[in-house]
Amino acid sequence: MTQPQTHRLAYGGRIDRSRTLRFTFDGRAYEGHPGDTLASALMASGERLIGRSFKYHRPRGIVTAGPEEPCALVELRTGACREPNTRATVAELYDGLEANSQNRWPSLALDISAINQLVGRFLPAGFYYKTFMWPASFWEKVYEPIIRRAAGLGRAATATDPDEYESIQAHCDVLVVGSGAAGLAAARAAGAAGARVILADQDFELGGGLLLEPEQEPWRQGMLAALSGMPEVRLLPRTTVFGFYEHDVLGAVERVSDHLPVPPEHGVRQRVWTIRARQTVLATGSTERPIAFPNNDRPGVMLASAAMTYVRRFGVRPGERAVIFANNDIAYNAAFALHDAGIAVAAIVDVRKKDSKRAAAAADRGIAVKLGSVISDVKGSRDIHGISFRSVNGTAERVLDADLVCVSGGWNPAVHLQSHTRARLTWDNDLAAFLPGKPVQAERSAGSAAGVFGIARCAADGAKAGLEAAAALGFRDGAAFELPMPDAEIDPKVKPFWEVKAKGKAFVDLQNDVTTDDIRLAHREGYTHIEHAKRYTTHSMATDQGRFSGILGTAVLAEARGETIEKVGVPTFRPYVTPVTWGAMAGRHAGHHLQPVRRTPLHHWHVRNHGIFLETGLWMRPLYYSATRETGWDPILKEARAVRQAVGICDVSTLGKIDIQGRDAGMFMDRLYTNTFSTLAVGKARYGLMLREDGMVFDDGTTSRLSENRYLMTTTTAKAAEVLAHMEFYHQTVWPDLDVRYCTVTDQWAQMSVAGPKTRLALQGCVEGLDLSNEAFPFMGVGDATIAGCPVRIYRVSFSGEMAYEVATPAGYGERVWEAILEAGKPHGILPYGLEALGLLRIEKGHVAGPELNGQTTARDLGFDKMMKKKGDFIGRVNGERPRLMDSDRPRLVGIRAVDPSFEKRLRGGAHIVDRPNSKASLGWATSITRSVELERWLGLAMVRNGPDRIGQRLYATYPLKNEVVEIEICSPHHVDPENLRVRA
Amino acid sequence: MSAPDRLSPFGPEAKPGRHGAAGGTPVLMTERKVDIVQVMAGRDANAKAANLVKDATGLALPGPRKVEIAGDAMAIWIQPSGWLVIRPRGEEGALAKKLGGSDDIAVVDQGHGRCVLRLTGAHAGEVLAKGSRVDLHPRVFPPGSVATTSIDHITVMIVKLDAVPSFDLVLPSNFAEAFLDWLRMSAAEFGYEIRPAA
Repeated sequence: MTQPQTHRLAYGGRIDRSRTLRFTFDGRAYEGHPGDTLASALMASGERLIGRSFKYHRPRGIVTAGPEEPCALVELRTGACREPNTRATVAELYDGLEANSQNRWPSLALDISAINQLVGRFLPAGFYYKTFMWPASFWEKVYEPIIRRAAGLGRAATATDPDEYESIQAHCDVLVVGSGAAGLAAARAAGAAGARVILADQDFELGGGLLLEPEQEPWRQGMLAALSGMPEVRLLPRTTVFGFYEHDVLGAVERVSDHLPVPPEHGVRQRVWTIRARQTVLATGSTERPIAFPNNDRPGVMLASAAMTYVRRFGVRPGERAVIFANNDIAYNAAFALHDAGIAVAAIVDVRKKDSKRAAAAADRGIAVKLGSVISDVKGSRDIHGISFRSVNGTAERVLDADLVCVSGGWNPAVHLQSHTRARLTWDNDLAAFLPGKPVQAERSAGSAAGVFGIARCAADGAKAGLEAAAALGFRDGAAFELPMPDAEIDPKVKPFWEVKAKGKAFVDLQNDVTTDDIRLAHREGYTHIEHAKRYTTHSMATDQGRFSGILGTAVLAEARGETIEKVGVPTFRPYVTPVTWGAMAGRHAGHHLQPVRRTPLHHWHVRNHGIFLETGLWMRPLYYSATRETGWDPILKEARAVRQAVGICDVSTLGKIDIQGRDAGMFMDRLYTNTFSTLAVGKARYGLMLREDGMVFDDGTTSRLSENRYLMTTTTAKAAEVLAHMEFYHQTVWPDLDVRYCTVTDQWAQMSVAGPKTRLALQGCVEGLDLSNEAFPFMGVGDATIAGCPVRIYRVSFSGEMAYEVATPAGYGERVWEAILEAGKPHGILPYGLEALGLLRIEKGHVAGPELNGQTTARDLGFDKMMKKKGDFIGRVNGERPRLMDSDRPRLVGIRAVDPSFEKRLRGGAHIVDRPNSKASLGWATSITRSVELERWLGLAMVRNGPDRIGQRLYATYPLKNEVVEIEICSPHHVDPENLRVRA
Repeated sequence: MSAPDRLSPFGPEAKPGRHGAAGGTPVLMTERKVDIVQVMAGRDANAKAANLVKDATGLALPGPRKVEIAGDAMAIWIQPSGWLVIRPRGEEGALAKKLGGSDDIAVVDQGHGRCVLRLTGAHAGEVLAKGSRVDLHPRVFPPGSVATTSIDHITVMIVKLDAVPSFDLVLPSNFAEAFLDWLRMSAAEFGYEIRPAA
């Protein structure tokens, strides 16, 4: 059965009574209207109890009508879309909305953990920290499980979020945050002057405080129409500016589809904006603050402005009989708004003793004003039925029946965004509030955010701020526009009043259940700084970040310290102003979109031909090919055998390629590499080794000389970008005199390695225009040709140790050339081979790769002593010859082989090399391990202390994590063809 | 030499057609069939490079952050003394060959290593704003401007062609498919149409 809207006013408000929206709360059916929030719709059905508090599980209701709501937090939506801790006061109602209360068990009405209220004196502030102190044995067994179960409010969804989020970058001359009178006027003034303007407001309706003033509606609409007509003005409703960062960068989140049951097709749920604003106008308004008094957290106690908002904007009766508790004149507006709506106002309990015009106006309406009085208690628990009040200094209590208490302790300008810039707040005695301080970045505050009150005054202040912001950027010729009609004269001055000291819990942080006594306890225990008191008590650490009542804690602490509030200050405000979901932060970069995929020109051939892929960095590379997706060694061994016995083809397009040209290109190469390239003949390739400045090996690869002053360098896949940056660094900073130019051509070429004893036969079947015979095209030759009509460059280099030719072709022809080679190789048993076989072959041959080039090995460690040229300098020469690096006891490269020729006991990469089976003294470690197709056993490469001198020794490879010990023989790293005859065949 | 047709770096999924939200003004995406050559001048060789390019293509070489556009051809400033020369696709390697190069002017064929995607439509700028922090507003980035930026971790050169707005995006070919994937997600809310390569 749908709950009736018992508390909906017959008329008034900005809701559309002609349409009904259905929703559920804790499974019960309700209805509301377009224009409602979840909070206003629940209130319209008379719901008071919305949630339970964090620590004591006290019943809590709706306290505010805005984003600073500390109590009315719900889980919105269900399943994978569940969003915990959503403030019902800003959740726009939609048809089909599902919400659930949180932090209660088994139900909202009967919450077992409410027992915490009775044992509350055993759960003081800092309870959590005290559990660390004693007894130690309690922590793991008692405290932690209890705290873990109790911690947190709502439950995060665990299933993958089906919705999409995105981010967007925006630039503007003037960003206006807040769309109240000041914000609208600022945006229009700046827009009319010709500036690019963004106006953002967290609300789904633009207008801020104007939405409560029906007589100002024509002005609001006129302003919105004018702004909509300006092509350079962008209006962003439902957009919370959550942070103000360095260099005038602001972050905002737009709730694009949160007001819909599901986002529209192709639409996102939320969008994060990064806004670079040359000037910012903070028209963020101000928020009313409460007063601490016993049981000030009961459902039915709310801010006076909130009660007024529910009446004026949402056409809801928040109660039947209200008491106003205030220390200022503005709060009387709420009393009158309630009175106008037919709600009985039992009394205005005014802290101030002096009679005023406002009190007289209340008396004219027949509202009793209790001057010089305070509320000392609230009667009732889940629903309230009365209050006690007394004179400020008295003790004699009187009682009033009431089901609604509207509190106003004055107003806090919303200074949070300005505080993010590290601007210092200033204290205003009249308003008893912190105001924005001297700007640090290009911003100014306007309207009630700057301590200006009244619609017309705010509009005028906003217009001035907008003009100034535009003028600062040179936009000066804007047309003037009409300001709203003047407000009634209401003095915004407040009598500072923070706490009613009486028996009972008086809360200063409603969400985290921090009381006035907790703050005093923190002070007694030495946490006298506001930042320490905050952390000790968790005051101002809830989702509202102290926006609702943070200043109450400061006031209590100030009194305890005997100092002014100005001196004590408030905890530093930091982003985010209101909570932002992780989904929005992640945007598109979720799942497989975390990073882009880099594909070789042959990628789709591999996909079509059953390549099993491995992500290596951003690249996708085929590990091996298997139509049945079999695992294990079989497909790898089959591919490797094809290379050793016939011919194989492998995609090596991922290798870095750098085109280097200029008169000094040869000299540049000589300095980059340990060996000499200026002597390389045109049309030849040479293997080169690069060191870092500290002498460690940086990268290796073959480099070819294409013409007198042009080289083509290849790098490893992993270091391609680093090598180019390394070259840029040395050329720009160390040798700017070298006449050389270079750029990456990695993407320009598809490159494939064709290897195996039958390679020449295979290639001769498809290569045109190049004599591939050993005499005409020997090892390390480079030449141009065509295959299948496509231009190719062929390099006779080998990584596998077999006769091999690398064929490069412009990327777009990659597949055609690859398939032509496969076709020509078919009679010779050609097979494509993947990364695993490539690794197997290079380990057998003893070629180093990533595991050996680990940034800690020198050329000498890897057996490249002979590649260090004697004459001429190169990067890393001096540091590479440091005595410690020349120590023969350093781990140096050797080959290792399992003594047992079966595959029973496997070797593992990372295994330690020891001289006795149970020794714990490591002599080194295995870097690369494989099953061998040539020697039919496990073998690999290892870094072993004094390794080359140990060749022939029997040692052990031990892998204690798996309790494995394998007897090995130390040997040359070149397990296959150590004389290097095959590559020259 | 004339080579056979090449495979598009945008992959097999980039089939012509209308996608994303229906109605409204779609963003049009067209792979441009072009030749691309990178020209890098040595010390004091900028004028020589300008003459070389002018003679070969009729294009003047622009200054920093600018693009010289003449019909279907353009020269893009990419770095100090460095440009990309782009024109409709001709014989394989012919443009690089025609430009030739010398000891003080490096000419590098990037016709397969880079690719160009034309993005045009009222919402084209908004789509790019979802990935790039470059301000594309006409006051800041008028037609004839170029900026190198990072979109979805991919290095992209954005060339502004006209006030529609239309952009030519110069991409590394190995990332073309990944970029298109991002672009399609970002353009879906406006609707988009993949056009046949031209």
